[in-house]
Amino acid sequence: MDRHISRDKVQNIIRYVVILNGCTVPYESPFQRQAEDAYALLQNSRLTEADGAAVVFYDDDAEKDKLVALSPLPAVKLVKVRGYQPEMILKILEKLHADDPRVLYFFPGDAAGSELSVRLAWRTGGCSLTGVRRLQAADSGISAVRYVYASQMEGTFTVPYPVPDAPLVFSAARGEGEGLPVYSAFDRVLDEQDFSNFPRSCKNPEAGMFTPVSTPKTLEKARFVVAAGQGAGSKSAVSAIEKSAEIMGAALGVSRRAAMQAWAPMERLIGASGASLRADLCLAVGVSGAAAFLSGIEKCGFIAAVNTDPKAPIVSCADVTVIDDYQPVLEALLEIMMKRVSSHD
Amino acid sequence: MKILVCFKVVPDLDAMRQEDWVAEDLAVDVSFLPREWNSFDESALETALRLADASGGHQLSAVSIGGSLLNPFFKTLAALKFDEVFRIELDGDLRFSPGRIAALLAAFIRREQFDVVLCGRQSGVGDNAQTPLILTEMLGLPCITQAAEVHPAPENSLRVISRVEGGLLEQRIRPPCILTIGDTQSTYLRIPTLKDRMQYGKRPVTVIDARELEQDSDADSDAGYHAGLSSPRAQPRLVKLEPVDNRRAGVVIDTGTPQEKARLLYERYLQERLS
Repeated sequence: MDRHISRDKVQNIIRYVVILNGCTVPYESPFQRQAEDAYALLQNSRLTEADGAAVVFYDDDAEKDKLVALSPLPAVKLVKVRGYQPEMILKILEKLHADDPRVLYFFPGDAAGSELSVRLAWRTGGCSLTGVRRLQAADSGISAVRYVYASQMEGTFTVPYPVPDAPLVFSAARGEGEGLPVYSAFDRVLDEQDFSNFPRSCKNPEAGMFTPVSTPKTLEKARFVVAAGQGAGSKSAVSAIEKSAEIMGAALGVSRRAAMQAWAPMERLIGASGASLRADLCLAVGVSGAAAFLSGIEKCGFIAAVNTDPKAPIVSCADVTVIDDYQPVLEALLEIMMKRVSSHD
Repeated sequence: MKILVCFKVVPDLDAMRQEDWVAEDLAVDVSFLPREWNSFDESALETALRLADASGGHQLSAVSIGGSLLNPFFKTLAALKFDEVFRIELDGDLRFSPGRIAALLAAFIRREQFDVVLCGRQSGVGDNAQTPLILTEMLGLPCITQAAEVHPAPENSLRVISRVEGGLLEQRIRPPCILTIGDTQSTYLRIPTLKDRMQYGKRPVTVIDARELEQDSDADSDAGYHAGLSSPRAQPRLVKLEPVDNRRAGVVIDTGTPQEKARLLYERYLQERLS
């Protein structure tokens, strides 16, 4: 496929826009993950790449090349701002929409993308859906498919399309994407606009200190994860599981109930609002298999569980489950693995 | 400061068994499940109580939409010394109607004039993740999303710590404002004492007819959104509902000592995947 398309042609045929946040202030946004989630939605919806453009907000000129390279569409528009601030970005998006209205907008599935999509739809008289996995053509418009009922059911929603002056604004499902296309065309930037002097809204909260926390990346990229749930029973038990996991070469993740009890940092949370694992192996201990948790491990290559209850939901959703207390089983596993390592030495 | 928490009571979907996930007439029967606070809303209620603990002189209120089944939850809030509890009377399918819910709440908030509105960021069943954001737009208020902690700050403002992608962001905001509560640890709602249950738990719930609020909303030309019923906006319509099949092989190892089970698990399933 020839990905090199002329600037004039692209300007005329753009039917949809993907909005991405490449700002580094107040925090370093995981741009690649945004791009991957948006790209997965476009791919699953079979939208032609040449019909769309990526609009990338950024605040640091040194990042421009990297952001263009990671953009999920061949055509890119760059918009310079003074850091990510939702109220200001929304004002700029309203202006861009007024100047050059589109009927279809896409946002990534992170919290910022979800917020912007809902608020932009409201401001532009359109309608929005969050967490969309794919779009398909429907008799009276477009169908959007997303998870509902704590990711245990898939709902299909129809929306009329196209409706003049009522754009459809979708944010992608989180953690769906993996990998981005590589475009050979080097002249991908269609347009650059500088809004760095855009007036600050009086509605902006006053930003203060930012404390980076870096664990989610390690959890989502880990090849082997030990997941602890409420069955662990205490903070000290989760700490012991973490130590065993470290020795096994695994990362620790926890269920929502375990995270809410502060048995592990919130950054270790697996599931609908936490990390979406892609590990080759997930060992779930003391996890009953709450609906929201299962959606966070469904993409793992192999799921093994240890649980006392043979009727727990995790049993049917795992490849294999040991029915027993997790502690003696985990201890025995650790012993076997350590013996193997020492025999190899 | 007048503080309002908008909350929802939801079925405990974790109590569903795999075979219970069946759709009929575009719905799943969850009527037999126990009801619980929506987890993000529970955090919002506890956050409001902590804010009141940290600085005096606040008036705490809570509101939810639904029928009389909500009353036990309101009793708990009254026992926790929420000054006023409101129930917007409306039965019906609101699973995928965040615009209508936001319009009702907006009309209610305009009527009662609150300084700070706390909402959980999303709730189960519909998982729309839209209501507090549409509410923000309808009321035209400043908003901080993903709040994890809210503290009093000088000059009648609030210091809010949000859990954003990559870290924790501290911001200062001046009421009136909306705060949406995201993932936040150790915010299970406290349990009222028996004494407080006896003393405060019988405080009546103020019931408001949803139609009154919808009339307010219709009359309010600034709202720009007419309670969802006569809305000019296109609304997504649910047309299909199917279970997500995430079942796997489901092999069970249930005989032998823990050591024997661990050995079988390792040798037959884990060894090749760990090499």
